[in-house]
Amino acid sequence: MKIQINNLCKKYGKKVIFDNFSASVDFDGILMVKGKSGLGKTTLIKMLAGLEKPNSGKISVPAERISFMFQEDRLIPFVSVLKNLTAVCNEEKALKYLSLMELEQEKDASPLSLSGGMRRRVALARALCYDSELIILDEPFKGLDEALKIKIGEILKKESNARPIIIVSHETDGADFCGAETLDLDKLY
Amino acid sequence: MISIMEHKLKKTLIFIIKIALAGIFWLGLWQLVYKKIGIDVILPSPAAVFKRLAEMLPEKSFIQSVFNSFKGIALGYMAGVLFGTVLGIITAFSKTLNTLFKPFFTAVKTTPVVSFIILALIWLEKTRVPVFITFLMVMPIVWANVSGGISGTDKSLIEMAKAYKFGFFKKLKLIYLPSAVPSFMTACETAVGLGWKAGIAAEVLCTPKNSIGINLRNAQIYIETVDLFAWTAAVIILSLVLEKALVWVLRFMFSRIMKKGGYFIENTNK
Repeated sequence: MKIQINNLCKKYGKKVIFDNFSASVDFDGILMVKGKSGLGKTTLIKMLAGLEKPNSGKISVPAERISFMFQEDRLIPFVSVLKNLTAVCNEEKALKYLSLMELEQEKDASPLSLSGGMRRRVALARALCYDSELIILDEPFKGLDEALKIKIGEILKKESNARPIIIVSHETDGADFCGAETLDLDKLY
Repeated sequence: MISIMEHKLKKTLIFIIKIALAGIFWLGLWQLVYKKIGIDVILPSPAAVFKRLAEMLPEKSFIQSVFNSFKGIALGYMAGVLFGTVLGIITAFSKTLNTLFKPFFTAVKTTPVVSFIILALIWLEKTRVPVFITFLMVMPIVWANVSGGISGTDKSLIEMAKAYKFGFFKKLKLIYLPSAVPSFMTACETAVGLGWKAGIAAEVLCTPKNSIGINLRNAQIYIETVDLFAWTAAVIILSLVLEKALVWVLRFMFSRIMKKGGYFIENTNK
């Protein structure tokens, strides 16, 4: 998948996040985007997903439907874990991904009753079960223990055979869990 | 287990005693003021009022008056809740409509209820005036709360819905409406008392046949102060009972609807 960014400018008030930023990334499988905190990683992927508009410049992503896992879980607190997933896919697929995340026992639970790590996995399951051409994950390993990071890394590796994945992580070892290529934003500035 | 129950029972008993003592204090004060004034027409004794109330309760005309008043006010209340909810949803999503309706609701909220009653007396049949006035008092409260509840929906959930391309109705069903439920319930509860009082006030001025309002008005015209107090006591008691009953019914209905829809009620009450 080739992503093209041309002369991107993005400001929040007076704070400049991107000033005439250009980059071209061609990748298959998983791309891990790294960079210092406050560099604009989340802003960049939100613009890739069309959730935020740049002030000027152009972003070209060859995908119509994009799965997006937010840095916060953003699960709907009013409905069950399963309903959070069936909001984006059918029940069969939802159950499959819940099972992959070892959360089938929690399908009828309220998202608020889950631990932080469980909620993270539900958010990840939702991103994976959404029928998309590109998956963007913001800090998917946050709050997970080592064993789960390895397990999820494996799931992502498999998933990346079907569609490309972009991961934003501040964890330096994140790439090791899923064998990702890395893109260091610090070096691109 | 037993100790928990005993503790609860003790707490309830203490609460009842406190309420009873407060009641005795105010009744005592009433009795003292009555003794001091000594003119029944100005202030009747508590005993005379409660005796009259007890006489009134089994009377057919009393039951019919209460039923008629309740019927009209309940109709106005339900219409107010319905229209307030629909308008609240619409104006929460349309800035243009919100701008259009805001002055109307502000005018309704700030205009003295008596002005509307007098206007309604000119426009409508007098039996419909209490219905209309209750409707007019209830609708802005429900509108403000529903509209505010929807507008106050967690923006991060809306962004999530945008990311996953939720359609309007999916957003409404899964995010907006459950977010607005607590403020809707608060509006319904607040509006009961207000609607009841406004409805009775409208009845007093428009005097529809066999209603609480006409009885209050007659008591005033014939200077039957004991009757006036007895009817007022009836209005207060009915207001308290109806408010509690309606709140219970609303909560029961909502918990059933929410459960049936697969919602977590405790999470919508946050």
